[in-house]
Amino acid sequence: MTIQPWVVWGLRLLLILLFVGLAGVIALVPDEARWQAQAFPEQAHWEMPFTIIAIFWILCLQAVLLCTWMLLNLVNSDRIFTRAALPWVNTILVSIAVVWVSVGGVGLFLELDQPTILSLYAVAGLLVVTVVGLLMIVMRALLIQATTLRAEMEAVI
Amino acid sequence: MAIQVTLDVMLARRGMSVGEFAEAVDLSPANVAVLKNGRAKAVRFSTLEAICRVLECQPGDILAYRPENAHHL
Repeated sequence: MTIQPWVVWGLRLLLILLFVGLAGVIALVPDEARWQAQAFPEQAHWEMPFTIIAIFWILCLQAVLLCTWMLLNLVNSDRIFTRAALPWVNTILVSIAVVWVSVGGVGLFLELDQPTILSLYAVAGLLVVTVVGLLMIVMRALLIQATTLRAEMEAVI
Repeated sequence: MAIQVTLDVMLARRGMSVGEFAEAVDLSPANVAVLKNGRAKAVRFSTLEAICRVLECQPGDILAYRPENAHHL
């Protein structure tokens, strides 16, 4: 089954919009942190760490978007089932792993610092990142299987 | 590979050039070369059928089994 061109172009357009949107969010994070610190003075000491970690998470998300873009290029040139795809998939997995560890860390720190609803959010976030991460591991294994099959089929005359 | 494609023999018998043969069986010259040099890992039945039709022969006429152990002994 071939992929319709509009799907690829639509996806590309949305990836660009998301990437630019996230860059805009990065610019807003410091102001938001300052506002939160003023609104909740008892949590003001979180202003700087929150700014750093939020920007870091957004950068990870942007890395995933970038890798998705590169994989989409490979799909377009019919090279997705080659070794060239693996580094991008691996980078996505590493980004997810890093986010997983940091979300867990933040949740733990929040819980130790001041148990609030925020640590519940961290648990929920951790759950979502875990599901996405495990799904990516399955997709990576499928990609490797398909790459092997493709190579075998190409050897058939 | 213990299975060898003995195309050269049949081509010589039929007095056919590699170019003519490639065109007649609808294969690329590169793939014919792979077959001839014994580097083919797998052949479609449809390819085998075309080869047999063009060379007017049986699969056994172009395929040979030569145990690889023989080389090591």
